[in-house]
Amino acid sequence: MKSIPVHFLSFRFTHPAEKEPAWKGTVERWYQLDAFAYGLAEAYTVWKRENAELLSAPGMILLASPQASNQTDFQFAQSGAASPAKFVHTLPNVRCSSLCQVMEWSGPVLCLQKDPFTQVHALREAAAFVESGAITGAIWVVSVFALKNGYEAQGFVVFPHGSPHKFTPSKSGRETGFEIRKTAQNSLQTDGDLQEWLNSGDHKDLGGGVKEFPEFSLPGGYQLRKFVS
Amino acid sequence: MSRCGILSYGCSSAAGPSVSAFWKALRSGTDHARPSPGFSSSVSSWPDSSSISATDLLVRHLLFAWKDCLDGLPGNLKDGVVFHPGRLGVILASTKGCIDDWVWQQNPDLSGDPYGPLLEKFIIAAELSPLETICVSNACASSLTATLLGREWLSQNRVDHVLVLAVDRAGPFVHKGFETLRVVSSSVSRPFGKGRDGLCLGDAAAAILLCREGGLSEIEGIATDTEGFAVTRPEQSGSSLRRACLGAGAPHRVPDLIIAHGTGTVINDQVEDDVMTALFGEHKIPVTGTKWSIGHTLGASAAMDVIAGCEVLRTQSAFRIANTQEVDPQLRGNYLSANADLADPFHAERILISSLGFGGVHAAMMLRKSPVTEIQK
Repeated sequence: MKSIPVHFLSFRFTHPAEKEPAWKGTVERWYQLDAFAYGLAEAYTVWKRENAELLSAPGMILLASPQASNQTDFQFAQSGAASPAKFVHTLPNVRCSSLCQVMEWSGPVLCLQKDPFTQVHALREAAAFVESGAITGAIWVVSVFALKNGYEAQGFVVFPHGSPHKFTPSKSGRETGFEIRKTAQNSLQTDGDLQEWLNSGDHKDLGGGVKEFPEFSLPGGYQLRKFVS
Repeated sequence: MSRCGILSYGCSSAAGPSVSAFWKALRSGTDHARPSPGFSSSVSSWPDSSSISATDLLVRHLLFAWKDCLDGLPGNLKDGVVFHPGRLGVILASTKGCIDDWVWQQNPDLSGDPYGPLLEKFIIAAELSPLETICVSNACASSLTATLLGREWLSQNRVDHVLVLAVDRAGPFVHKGFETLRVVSSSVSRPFGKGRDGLCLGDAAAAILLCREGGLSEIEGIATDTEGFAVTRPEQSGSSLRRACLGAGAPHRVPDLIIAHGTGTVINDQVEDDVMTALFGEHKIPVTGTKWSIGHTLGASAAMDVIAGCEVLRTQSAFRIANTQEVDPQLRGNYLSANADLADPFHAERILISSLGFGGVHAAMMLRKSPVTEIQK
């Protein structure tokens, strides 16, 4: 199997929003969105502004948020189970509606759950879809995490075979890229392990400014690699 | 995309713990759906210590459905599926899973989704050892979305069989939520009927065993489409449902029957009518539905429709929307209302099943009679 190029994006935010978003005219009653729906729409807007060429229309979106809609479910119940505006966000797939509105896109969206392996399994499914050729175009794996002080939206853009690698420039001038490869190894690593790996700077200096990071094993014998050009 | 068949199926619903009970209700025009029991807004009153947990209730429903599904399998295939664990995939479709078990607590543990514990408990109770498992939660289109993924797993040769499980419970959380939206009928659900005023909610579990080839029915086409329009209602033009139907093979493949989502809400029924009329208007294809009989079973509803479709193909007989005495004159479809003519036997080679859900999700499946359908399930 050839390697599958992947681009990784993340965006931290707080909710409720402190100011009106740029897309306020696109999403009806945007101020009633829960944090997860708001965050995806806002993250897309920021990502698109900074990486327009990477975010052309996907062939499929895999929505993979750990803890599903637990936070919103709890808020709905504890506030007396009386608010229709809250209730409509008590399904984990619903957060994609505002994203689709801001993207002006429609297409297949699969909302996958398998805690504590939700995100890693969605990445595996994306790789398998790309390998089988069932989907033309990139597959986005989109997640929103509740953090101690706010939220983080993450997007993996999994490109079809043969696409050139995509790099994210860093402040140091180096560019980070990601790819998925097939190995024989299976994995039981969790979404939490993936977050640690994404944030980790552990690497070997191979000389000449080239850095090698340890791979992250995904389910199904896939491996996520991070490298620096 | 490679072929995919339905090897066996089973269910448990308000009509009883079997496909035969469900089919009997549909054919006889029996309404098992019940109006809301009127749960309190005080969430602390939701748990009932005398009853079993939502998880256990749902697992019990799923076990009934699985047993019913196993009963439909010939012995040699039963061994192949159950005792060859390395080649089985299981996908659970549900909107809210076991939400009623924790959401009323003051300081609940919010880690973990409400679907995994349910699937895990079922797998242990059913003594299965699947190679692959995952949960799909695409609102009321969850069942068809899970089936689409199952078909892809088979196409990728990751497994030999995929068990699509679908389950939902209309507990206090769901009932209170739908009441806030004012879409629950004050009497009975009358899909596509004149003066319809909403849906009745229901519990159900379904088990559908997919195989690569053969089977009782063949999934000729299946597609899903999520639109960016509004959270609770489809765009009036029905463009997203239309795209899903096109992806499932319509209108090139003309079905003999449409099993519509048919919630009984004014807007959803109108959009389905517009899309189906635009796709097949000149054919006057009979349109029916199941929610009037067992209630809207949310994430399990499309799986129940698939089972009804398989029974139509197997028995070559159809069923009416028995609660709908008079069709809404604004609708143009050929609805099998209580008084409509219904051919018996009903010749059916192909059935289109449609599904809509919150978040702008739409899905459609074209089900075809396979040669082995003649074999009694």
